[in-house]
Amino acid sequence: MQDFLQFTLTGITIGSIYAIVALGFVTIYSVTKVINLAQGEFVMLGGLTMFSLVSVGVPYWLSFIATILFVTFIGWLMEFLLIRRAKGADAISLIILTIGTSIFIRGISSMVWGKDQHTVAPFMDNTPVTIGGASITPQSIWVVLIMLLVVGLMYMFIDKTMLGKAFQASSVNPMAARLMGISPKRMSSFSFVLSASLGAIAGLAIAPIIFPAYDMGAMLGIKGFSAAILGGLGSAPGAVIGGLLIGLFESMGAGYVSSGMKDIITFSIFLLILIIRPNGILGEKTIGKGGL
Amino acid sequence: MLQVESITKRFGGVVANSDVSFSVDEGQIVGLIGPNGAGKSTMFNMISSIFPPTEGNILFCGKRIDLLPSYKVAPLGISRTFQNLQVFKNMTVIENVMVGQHMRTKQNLSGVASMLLGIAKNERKVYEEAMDILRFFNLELLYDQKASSLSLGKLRLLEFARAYATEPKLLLLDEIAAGLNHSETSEMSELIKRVRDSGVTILVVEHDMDLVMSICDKLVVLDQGMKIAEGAPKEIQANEAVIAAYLGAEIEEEVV
Amino acid sequence: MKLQGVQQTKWWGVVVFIAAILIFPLVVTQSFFITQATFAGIYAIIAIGLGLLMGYAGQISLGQAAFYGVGAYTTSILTATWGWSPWLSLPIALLVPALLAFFMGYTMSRLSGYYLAMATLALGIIVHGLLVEGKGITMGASGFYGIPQLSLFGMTINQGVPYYFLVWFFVLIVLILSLNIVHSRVGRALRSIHDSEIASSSMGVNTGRYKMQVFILSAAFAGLAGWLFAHMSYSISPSAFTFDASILFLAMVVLGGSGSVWGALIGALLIRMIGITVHTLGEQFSFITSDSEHVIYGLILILVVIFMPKGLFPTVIDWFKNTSIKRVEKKSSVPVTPIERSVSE
Repeated sequence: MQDFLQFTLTGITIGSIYAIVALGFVTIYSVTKVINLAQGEFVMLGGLTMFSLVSVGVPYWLSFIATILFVTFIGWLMEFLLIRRAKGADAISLIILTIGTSIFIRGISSMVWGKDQHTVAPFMDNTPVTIGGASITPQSIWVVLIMLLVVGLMYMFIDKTMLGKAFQASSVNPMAARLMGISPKRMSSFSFVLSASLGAIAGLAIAPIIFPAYDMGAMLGIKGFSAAILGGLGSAPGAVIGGLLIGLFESMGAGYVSSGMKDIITFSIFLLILIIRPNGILGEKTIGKGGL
Repeated sequence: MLQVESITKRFGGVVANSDVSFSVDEGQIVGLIGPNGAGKSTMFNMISSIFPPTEGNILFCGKRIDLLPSYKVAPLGISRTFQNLQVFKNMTVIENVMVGQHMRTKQNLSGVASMLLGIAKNERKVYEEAMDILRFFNLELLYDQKASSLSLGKLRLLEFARAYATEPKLLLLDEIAAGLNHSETSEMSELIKRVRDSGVTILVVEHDMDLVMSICDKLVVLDQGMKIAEGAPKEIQANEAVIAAYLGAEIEEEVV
Repeated sequence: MKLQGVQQTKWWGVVVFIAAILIFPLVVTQSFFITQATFAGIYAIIAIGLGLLMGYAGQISLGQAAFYGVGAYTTSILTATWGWSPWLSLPIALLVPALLAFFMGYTMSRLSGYYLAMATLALGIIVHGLLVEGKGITMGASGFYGIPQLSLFGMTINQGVPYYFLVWFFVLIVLILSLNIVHSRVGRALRSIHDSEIASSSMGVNTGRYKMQVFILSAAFAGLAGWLFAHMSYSISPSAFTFDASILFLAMVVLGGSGSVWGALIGALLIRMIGITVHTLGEQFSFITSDSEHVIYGLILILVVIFMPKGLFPTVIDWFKNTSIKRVEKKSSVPVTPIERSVSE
C-alpha cells in the first residue's frame, strides 16, 4: 500500500509534465492540424536554458521569465520560417518537417550544451515531505502545482478572453473563423508561441528533477504525443488525462516490474487502449465527408 | 432489379431522406429528380454504399446491399460516377479506365512470382479492352493524356467510361451533364441510351430537365427528403405536387 | 511489349543499375568503401519498402527499425542458438516481421493517419526495449554475438566484395519486384487510392486490404535487410534498431522521393554518402562531430519538405521531362489538342 502510494505520487509528478507537453500538441494540432514532433525539444530547451541562466547566477524569477521568452521566440521562429512555408503539404510531409526540426534543434543543442546531463538546483529547500508513508520532494509538488496552474490559465484564456475565443473558433471551423476576420496565419503563429511557452514551463519545472540533457526531448515528445493520442487528439481535457495515465503506467511499471521494462509496459498498454478505443479516451469519431 | 424500401437517413438532427421507396426495373433508364436539397445525392450515396441508411433496406437482385462496404458493391454489378468528379488525376486517361477493369482482372499480390518475370500476361488484353471502351466514349485520341489536363466535358465522359469499364448491371450517374453545353449534353444523352442498349440499367440524378425528359422511362421525384411522385415523364410533367415543388423552389430561390 | 500511356517498368534503367553494381567494386577498391556500399544496399532494401508504404499506400511508419531488428534477431537466434542453416532461417526472418505487421495492421485497421504513425512508433519502442531486456534470449544491450557467416556451395561469403555482391543481388530482386508491383494492376489500384479513395473503392478496389498488403511487404523487406545485416557481422546490438534508425530510413525516402521506387534507392545511397562524408571530414576537423551529421539530416528533411515536396528523384525527372517537351514543341508547332477544342466550343 505504501509502495502504491509512492508510485502514484511519482506517476502524477511525471504525468504532469507529460500532460503539459500533450497540451502543447493539442494547442498546435487543433488550430493548424500539424503534429509538432519537435514539442519535446521545447521542453529540452526550457530545461537547458534554465540551467545556463541559473549557473551564471541569474536569480530564479528572472531565469523563469527569460527562459519562457527565449523558448517562445524559438517556437515563433519555427512557425514563421518553416511551418508557414510548407502550408498545403500533406500530413506525412508536415510530420517529417517537424521531425527534421526536432533533429536539427537537438543537434545544435548538443553542440551548445554538450552531451552531459546537467544539474539545476531545486526552487527551494528540497527535504522530502512524508505523506502516509510515501515521500515526495517539494520540487515534485511544484511540478504538480505548476501543471494545475497551467491548466487553469489555459482554461481561463480559452474561455474568457477574446483571443481565446478566436482561437477556439479557428479550431472548430477555420473557414467561418476566417470569414469573421480571424487571420489563420496569426492563429497558427500564436498556437506555436503558446505551445512553445508551455514546453518551456514544463522544462524549467522538471529541470531540478531529471538532470536535463540535449537528448531528453525525444522521449518527452513521444510520451507527450502518446498522451495526446490516448486522450483523443484535439481534446485538452483528454491530453491532461492521457498525460497523467502515461505517467502512472510508467511509474507503476518501473516500480512493480523493473525500470528497464517501464517503456515496454507503458507503450503496450497504450497500444491496447488504442485497439479498444481507436479514437482515444475522449476522442470524437471522425465524421466522414457527407454529401459528395 | 433495384428495390429501395422505406429508406430514412438522418444526419444528426437533419432528415435527408424520409421513408422513400421506389424500384428500378432491368433495362430501364430511371431519373431521380427534385429541387436542391431534396436528398438525391444522399440516396445515391446509400445505393452505392458510401454510407448506410438509418432505417430501411436496399435490395439489388434480391440481395441486401445497404450494409456492405462500398468496395463489395461494385463486384455485384453496381457502379457510379461522381457529381464532383473523382477522376484519378495523376493517372492517364487509359489508366483510369484500367482501374475500372480492376476487379475483372483477378491477380493479387500472391502472384508475386509472376511479377518477378515482368508484366502479368493479361495486361495487354486489359489494355486493348480499355482502348475499346475509350472508343465507345470518343476518348481514344486522349488516351495517353494525364486526366488532370482534360476539360470538364471530357472529365465527365471519363468518369462515365471508367464506371462502364467495371461492366455493371446498374450504373448510377450523378449529375453527369452538370456544366456541359448543349452539344455536349445531347452527345451525353445519346451515349446514355447507347449504354442502356448494351444491356445496362441506368439510374440518373439530373438537373437538366430536357435531358431527363428525353431519355428516362420513369421518373422518381423527391422533395425535402420525401418522394412526392413517381411515373412516366409525361405524367410527371402534369403532376401538380411536382409543379408546386419546383415552382416553390423557384420562388424561394428568387427571394434569396 | 510497350503499352503507350501506361506506366511500365523501364528495363534500360534496370540494366544501367546492374552495370553500376558490377563496375563499382572495380573502380573503388578500398575495403572501407566496399563495406559502406554494402550497408547502403541493406538500407536501400528497407527504404524501398518504406517508400512503397508512404508513396503508394499513403501511410507513415515511424517504427520501421522494429521490423529490421526483428528480422536480424530472428535469424541470429535461429542460427547461433539453435544451429539452423542461415539459408533456412531466411524465410523465417522475412515471415516473422511480416506476421508482426499483419498483426499490427489487423488490430490497428481502424487506425489511420496520426494514430497509425503513433502506433508504429510505439511498436518500435517496445521492440527495442524487448531486445535490451530479453537478456536470456537476445543477450541484452551488450549485443548478440556468434552469428555464423553465410556460405554458398561450400564457400564462405566473406565480408568485402563477396558480401557486397550478395547484398546488391538482393537489392536487385527487391527493386525489380517493387517496380513490377508498382506497374501492375495492384500498383494502379494503389495509385488510384492516392488520388481518390472513394472512387477507388467504388471501382471495387478493396483499399484497406491493399494498404495492409503493402505494410506487410515493407515489413518483410525490412526483415530481409535484417537478415543480411546480421550475417554480415559477427555480432549485432539493439542500438542499431532505435527510433533514430527509423527516422534515418524516413529521411532516405523523403530525400529520394516517396512514390518512386528509384527515388527510395537513390535516397538511401545519398544519406549514406552524406554520413560517410561527415565522418571523413570529422577525422580532419575537430569541430565536425557526429552531431553535425544529425544537424545535416534535420536540415535535409526540412529543406526537402519545403522546397522539393516530391523528393529529389521525381523532381529531377519532371524537370528533365519538361525541358525535353519544350524542345519537341519548338520543333513541331502543332497544337496538342485541336480535337478537344472543337468539341467543347
